[in-house]
Amino acid sequence: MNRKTFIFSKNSRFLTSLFHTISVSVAALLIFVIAAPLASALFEFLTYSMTKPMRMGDVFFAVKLSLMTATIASFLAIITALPVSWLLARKKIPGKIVIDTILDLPLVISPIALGAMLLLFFKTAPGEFIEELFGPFVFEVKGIILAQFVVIIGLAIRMIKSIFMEIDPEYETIARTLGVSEAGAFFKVSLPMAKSGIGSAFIMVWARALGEFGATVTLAGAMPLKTSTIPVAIYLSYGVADISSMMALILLAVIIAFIMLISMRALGSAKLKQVS
Amino acid sequence: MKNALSISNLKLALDSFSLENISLECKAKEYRILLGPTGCGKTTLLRTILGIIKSESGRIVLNQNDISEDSIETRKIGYIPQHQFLFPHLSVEKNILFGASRFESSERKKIAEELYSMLGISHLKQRSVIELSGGERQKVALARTLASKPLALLLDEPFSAIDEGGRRALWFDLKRIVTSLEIPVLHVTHNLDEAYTLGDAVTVMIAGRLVQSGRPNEILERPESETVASFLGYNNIFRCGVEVFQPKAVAKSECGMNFVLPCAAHNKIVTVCIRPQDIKIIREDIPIREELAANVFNGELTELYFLPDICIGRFKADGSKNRFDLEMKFPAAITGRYGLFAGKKIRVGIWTPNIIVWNVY
Repeated sequence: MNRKTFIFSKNSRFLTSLFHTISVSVAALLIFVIAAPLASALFEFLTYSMTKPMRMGDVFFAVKLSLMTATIASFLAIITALPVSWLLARKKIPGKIVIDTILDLPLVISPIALGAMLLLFFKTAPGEFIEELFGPFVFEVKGIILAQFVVIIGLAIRMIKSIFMEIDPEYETIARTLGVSEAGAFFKVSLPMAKSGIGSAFIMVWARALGEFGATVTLAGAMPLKTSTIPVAIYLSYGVADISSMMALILLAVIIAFIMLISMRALGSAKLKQVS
Repeated sequence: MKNALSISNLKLALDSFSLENISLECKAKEYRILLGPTGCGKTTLLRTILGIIKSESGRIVLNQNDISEDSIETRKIGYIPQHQFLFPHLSVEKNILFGASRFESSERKKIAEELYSMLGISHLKQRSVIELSGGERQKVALARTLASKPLALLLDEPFSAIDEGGRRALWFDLKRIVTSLEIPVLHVTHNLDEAYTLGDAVTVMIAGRLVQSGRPNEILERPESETVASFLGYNNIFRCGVEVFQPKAVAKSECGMNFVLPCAAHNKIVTVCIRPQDIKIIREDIPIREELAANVFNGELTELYFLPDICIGRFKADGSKNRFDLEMKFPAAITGRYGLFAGKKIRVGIWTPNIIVWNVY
């Protein structure tokens, strides 16, 4: 080994170990940034719940309402996203870029702005007509579901579209040469093949709906025991300095999110196992 | 014609590619090979016949019915693409039953059972398609397609993803099975061995056009143009000036070799093609055969390459300034028997009746 090569390999080893050290340190710092507030929330909860009991009714109502509205909104989002995503992934349609962009807007617009737009929409004639047809949305539970739906639909379409794009359209073509219609090929081939991906997408949008605050509070308001989802109830408890309830809600939200993310990872690894 | 697949005047222009006036007849029971280089439009033609790509004009007739405007699912044409595309969420059995979707439940099971025994895949029934070998996948894909009882079968490079070892056995299985079905088969490939072994008839496609059709040996022995010959791997193609026209022409190549042609020439310039297998090494101790005697050349074996069962040799004629003048192909055993090595002085003869001549002007 000549001197130049020796110095180079020595430097290379040093740079590699430096890179590893920096990576590990940054990861540790990030875990601290997330874990420290969680630990302090747990500590505060234990401290306050001893002295000031939380309002159990409010907490359970918020959890029940959040689980219900997020589930309905997520089902609706996935069901509507399926055909739209398939269309965007498979077909050449005029103005596809514009359609795609419009459907992406909820992903980038602030939820408060989305909620405000929905609120304004219900002041217009078509909005009033819809309220007449389906009942009131503004300051109602239906408003929460709509707000959550609008916030998550862009995410649902984006995720499911990418799942369909991963599935070679040739599978559907083959199904059609075997005598199955285009719709049949979708239901019998693409949909079952996308199953685990759709499951992951559902969990993702469900978790997002569960944490939705901005659009919900704007459209459905922040009324205790009426439209108080977990984030709204946290906001309300914070407003009246009910730290015990706030901490309980925060911890519950964290636990639910953790379970959801773990399930999604399990689904993802099952899918990977299947593919390999 | 009954049970035949007939394509007439099919035209299609894609962004960077077009199919020009494609007319093709694939008779019932006929196993036709569509042979051509990669990217010549073979797959596009298959996809147009299937209805996946819409043609601009032309007619596709199957079993005396015009199916040009029919949807993919109503054409009843079986299709096996290169990578099979077995449905990964279904077992082998369910994949095959899927193929029989057009039929009643009881009939579907019966069709599947027949195919298991026909293809010898009963033991795979419950297996996941992900676990199958290349050959097994191909058999399951064939069973799935045949379960739909197609009126014609299109195969797109069906063996390209299969190991060399298992490929030949599959060729024979495929030919045996599809021949028994008495339907027209159109098999796309760029593999000459596959075309020669399987095809009852071969159609050569180059750059979106069908350039020659015939029996496999006709195509291999008499390519109609320089383009076809080049595709077939015949590299000994010479533009020659005719020096003697009758009764048998003599043509002089640019490299200085004089070829006695098997026929008279009508034009001053001809193109001569000599297949590498038609160049024979002549041993000093054996009399020269009559067919070789007219075209005997002395020179040097400049390069020698060993393939599994044949050898490729390159020959440079005495006095030539080229790196080599002729490429020849001979059985590997000859090398030992004749003591061949790169650099050896040899004498070669060209099998004159097989020289291909295209008149130019």
